[in-house]
Amino acid sequence: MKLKCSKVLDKISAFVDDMLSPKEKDAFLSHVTTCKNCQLELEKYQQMISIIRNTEPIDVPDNLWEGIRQRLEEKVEERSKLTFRIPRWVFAPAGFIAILCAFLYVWTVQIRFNQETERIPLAFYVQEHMRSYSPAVMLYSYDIESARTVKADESYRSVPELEVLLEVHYGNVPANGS
Amino acid sequence: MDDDELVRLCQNGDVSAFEQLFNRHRKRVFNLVYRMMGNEEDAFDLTQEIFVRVYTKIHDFGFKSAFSTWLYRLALNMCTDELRKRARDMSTPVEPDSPTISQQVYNTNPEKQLMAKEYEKQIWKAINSLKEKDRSMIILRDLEGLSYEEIAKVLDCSVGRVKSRLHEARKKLKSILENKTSLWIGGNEIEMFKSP
Repeated sequence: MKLKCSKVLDKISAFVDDMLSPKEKDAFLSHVTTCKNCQLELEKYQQMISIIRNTEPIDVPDNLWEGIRQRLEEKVEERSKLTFRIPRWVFAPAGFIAILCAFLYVWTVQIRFNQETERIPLAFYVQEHMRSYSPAVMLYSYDIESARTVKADESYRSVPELEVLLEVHYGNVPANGS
Repeated sequence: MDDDELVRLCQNGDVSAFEQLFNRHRKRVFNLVYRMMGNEEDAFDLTQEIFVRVYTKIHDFGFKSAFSTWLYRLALNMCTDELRKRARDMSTPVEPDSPTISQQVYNTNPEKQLMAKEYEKQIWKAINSLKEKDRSMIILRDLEGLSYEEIAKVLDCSVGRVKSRLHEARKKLKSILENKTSLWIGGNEIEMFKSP
């Protein structure tokens, strides 16, 4: 297999590291022995890599560990202080209480919602609470008649989100009397 | 006691086991950081930071690779982060320390020693001017002597990728040396470094 110079140059690095297959290596060497330019290139790579590989490692400063040890001690101290302030056994009951509170909150909101919706027109309620309840809650049991009544009211403010919801669920909702 | 056993002890809070790990790997890590950062002062500070990070993160080590691979990856990432941070801050780059003279040079005459010192200095200056990814390839392979497989594990890429990236990095380095130095002219300099 005859190689072109460009192919040989691409394989120089792998050749230096002995990463060519026996077949590739043979083809590489047969080219290099006859091509002066590629031979010179190979020597340059070998020279450069040889110098890097023979660079003496520098000595590690004696006080390197001292600084690390000091910082580790500080970390251990910090950790022990933290452990003292918040004992681990606190986390489980605290989590339970947090979940309980969240459940109670949702439950009371639901009760308040049910109570309020009994007293006022549902669509009006939905409009007023547009921004504080999710669309799923807003759609909860409101009726088309109330929506019409609200839209006929002079103080009615058009809320795009509500309009969209009404249209999706009931089609176009004209105001009463219009 | 091998690295894995020491790591297990460290994970149980044994600082003396960590000291043993440190003693085992300090030289290679320090030299890696020194070559990446280009000066001893930064290497000193960053190596300390690296080992403190190793201690705090040792619980994350899952024994899926060699500890040294994990350590090298962490060290290299911290060097890269630091270099990028500095590039962002546009701070003045620290002038690299004078490199050490290679072992072979001690066997040559004073004139050649001087030339060799200059040559080595030029090479490390050129390496320091490479981008971090190219620099790290050359340092891991040619200075630290990691195999292609080990480099692939450290950099989390394929062996083929290592092969091509290393070739590119060396090509760039050679190009810098050819453009900035006259060290390639003639054959004498090349012979000088051949083993006696």
